[in-house]
Amino acid sequence: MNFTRKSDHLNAPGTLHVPRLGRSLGLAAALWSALTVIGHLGAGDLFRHMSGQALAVGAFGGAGVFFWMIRKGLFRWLTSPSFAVSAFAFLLLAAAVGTVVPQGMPAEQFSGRYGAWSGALRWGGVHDISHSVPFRGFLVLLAISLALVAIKRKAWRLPEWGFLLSHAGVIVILTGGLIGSVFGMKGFIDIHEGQTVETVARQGEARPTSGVPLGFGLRLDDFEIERYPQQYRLYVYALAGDDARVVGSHDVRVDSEWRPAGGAKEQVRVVAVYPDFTLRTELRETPEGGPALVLRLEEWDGRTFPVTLLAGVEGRETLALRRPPARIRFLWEEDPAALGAKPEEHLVTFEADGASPQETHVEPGGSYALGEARYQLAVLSYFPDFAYDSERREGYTRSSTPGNPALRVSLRDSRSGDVEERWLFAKMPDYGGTHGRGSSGVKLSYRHVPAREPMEREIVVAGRARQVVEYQRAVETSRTALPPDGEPLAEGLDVTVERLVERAEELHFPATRSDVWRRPAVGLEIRSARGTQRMLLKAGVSEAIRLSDGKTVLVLDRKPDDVKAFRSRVTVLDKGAAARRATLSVNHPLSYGGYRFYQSNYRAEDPTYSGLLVVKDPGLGVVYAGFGMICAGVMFIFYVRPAILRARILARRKVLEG
Amino acid sequence: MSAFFAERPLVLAILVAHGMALLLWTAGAVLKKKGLRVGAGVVFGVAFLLNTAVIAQRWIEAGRAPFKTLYETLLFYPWCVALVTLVLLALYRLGVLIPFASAACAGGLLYAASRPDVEIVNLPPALQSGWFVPHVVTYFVAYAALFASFALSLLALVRPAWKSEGGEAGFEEYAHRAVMFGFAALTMGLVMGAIWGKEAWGDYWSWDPKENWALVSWLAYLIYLHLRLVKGWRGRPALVVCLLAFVAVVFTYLGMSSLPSASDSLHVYQ
Repeated sequence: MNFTRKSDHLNAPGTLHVPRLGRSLGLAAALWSALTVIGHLGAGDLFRHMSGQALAVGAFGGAGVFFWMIRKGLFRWLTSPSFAVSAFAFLLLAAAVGTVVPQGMPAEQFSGRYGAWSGALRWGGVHDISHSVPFRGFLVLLAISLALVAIKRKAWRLPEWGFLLSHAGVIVILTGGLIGSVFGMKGFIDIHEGQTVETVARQGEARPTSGVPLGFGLRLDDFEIERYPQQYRLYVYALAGDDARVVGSHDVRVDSEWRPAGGAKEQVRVVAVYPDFTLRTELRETPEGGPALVLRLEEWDGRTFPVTLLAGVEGRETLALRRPPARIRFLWEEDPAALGAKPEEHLVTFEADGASPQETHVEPGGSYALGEARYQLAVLSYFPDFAYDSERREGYTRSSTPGNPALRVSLRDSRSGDVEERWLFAKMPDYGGTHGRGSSGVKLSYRHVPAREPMEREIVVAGRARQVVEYQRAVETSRTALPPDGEPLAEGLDVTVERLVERAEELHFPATRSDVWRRPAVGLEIRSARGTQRMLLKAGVSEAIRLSDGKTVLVLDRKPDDVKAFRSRVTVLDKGAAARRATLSVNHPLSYGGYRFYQSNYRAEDPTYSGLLVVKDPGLGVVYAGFGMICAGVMFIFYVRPAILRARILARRKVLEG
Repeated sequence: MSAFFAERPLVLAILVAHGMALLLWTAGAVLKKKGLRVGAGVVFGVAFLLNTAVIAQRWIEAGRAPFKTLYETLLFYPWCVALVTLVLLALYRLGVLIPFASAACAGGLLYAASRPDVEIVNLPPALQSGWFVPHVVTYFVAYAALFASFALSLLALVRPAWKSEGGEAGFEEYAHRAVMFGFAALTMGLVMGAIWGKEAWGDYWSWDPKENWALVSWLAYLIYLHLRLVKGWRGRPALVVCLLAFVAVVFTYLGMSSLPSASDSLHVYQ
């Protein structure tokens, strides 16, 4: 052995006389190539699977090589830093190449990708480098080298402990890994709630057919997938062609801060949040408004709700009550006395060229002179609920209620003597104009006023007079003053007067029905150079607001509700009895009977399914010990050893000085 | 980017502080004014405090450790670089590191500002582990120390004759000390990652590209450490290897996501 030590170096263990680095790298390259060739000569399986026999062969072979090397002086190379540097360089290259060339790719795909090169690359083991013979071989060689260096350096002495721990740590880790790959196994369990499994499928084998018995049973009692809470956010998208990219995401809460809206000039802020959006109607007194009467109705179950009647607004003047049957009508100026029963009315508007329209009451069967008696209109027939029979090609009425009132009329021009027949439809007042304007140049349109059936009981509130007038079958039975607010409107009705306003308007306001995020919307203020604009943005992509640049879009949408956790509650059944209950989740495996069960999979579409990885690794403790050794060793080399050496030098100096 | 700074003025403040530290120190060096360099150190310290505030704010806002996304780590890495620099400043008075550290921090922050997260990203189940914070923090402190070793190696190559005030060591020695600390942290980060991997996925090592590149950077520093023991390779050649090793670190952190194999990686930043 031929090495010397520089005595005065604190950090470095010493410079060794070794083969030059260039030669060392060349040797390593030759060795790598040789191992590649050996791999192809059939020894590949030896390293690839690291079987028991391989171990034995390796051990004997290693020992043989060891003695041979000592004789040949190769020992010096294997124990030199040059060898370490060379070995690291090749392992480094291999690890780097493994990230550039796809690993474990099917052969056809691989050759498709690399074409003519694929053969050479595969031969070199580049397609699966961590399993290649030279890679594994270099790891073994490294372990041998470390063992030899430890002997050479007499590493059991105190200052060398760091060296010993760190370098032996590598051997220990590699050994632990080898133990794991030889005596351990890795498999997978697909399990559903309520199911018990007693075997595990080895990884890489067909799952349903083969199975390794565990020696105990594992029952899945319950499986759950927990998601992050649903959250709506205000997203800013930048559009580019068909592409939309999220460029901003803002909290949906009322704040006073203006926020940028992507590349647009506008700024945005949230001024209102409606988790369960609705439009609330509110009666406001305004000078532009009309008369309004607010009543409060009581339901049979005691609940009450307000009803607003608006005088002079079609469809909003009356309220029909079912039990007892009655009608409440709100008028302002009109005389309630004129509200008796009234038959239906037919009105025809006549419009000749140039002249102003003229509306005439007509009756079926009647005849009327129009247009300064130039025209004679005859109402031939009335179809209260017109329909067309396409087979018989004629009109008929479906019922006697005026669902689709129509008139068949004839128009005679006394000047020309022409007679023209037409259809007039109340629901299509323009029909007589577009379809029926014959040669006569006359437009006719039809208005139908339905009959007012006398109600059994009708209560009329005359607003200006502040009177309540009751009718029984169109006959007035009483007339009283409007009761004060909060009092019942009339006897026998569950209706109270809430208020009467002479000038009011119904306004609609965005509001929320509840705090549940059901159909959310936000009130936004969008500020630009032209001023600030208020807008309502409802949830969903279809409701998006596009800003002035045409490329920026605001969307109220849900943040992805990612899976937060998935857990399996399992029971271990050993000899028929429940031996252990545990909850498995990612990062929290279960250890039992030499196996470790890892929560590995879930299926969103099958909530009772759980996928468990099963690993048996008897080398685990060894590997962890190696980890500890490396960490402790590195710290020792860098921070403890220098202190020891420094102390020794100081002590020696003291001895010399003393 | 202006919109980002409008929303996160503290990040802009850190950036400005680092810019000021860089200018002050350079001016101090050119004009040979010690006061300016001391001022640079003070501003640098302020930048570190502001950075601490930004990370704390993000931690509270996210409700988890803010190390999930590239953006978040780009806010954290400058903090680590500043921390390591301040420690080296305290231990060895290596004020010359300030301009390097400030430039690196400013670069990281500008990169962060160019690609901010639009919202807080949920932590997937695998990252919900007690190992998350120690693993990431150890790695980033290692990366920061190795950045210092990179800067010191550069200085050692440019000014090999320089000695510290006490005359005890030159840049090469300080670079080596930075590597020792960085390598120790790198080793522990690697070991923690392996243990975490075993707890989460049942494997210490899954040949994930990020794992491979972590191994590459670790081996690169291992080469540096052993190269110093080879006769004739200490000094300039070892320093060059030290520089190259840091390139591997940067690639592991930022470049690896551009590899074709990155799509399979469990470690890729979003």
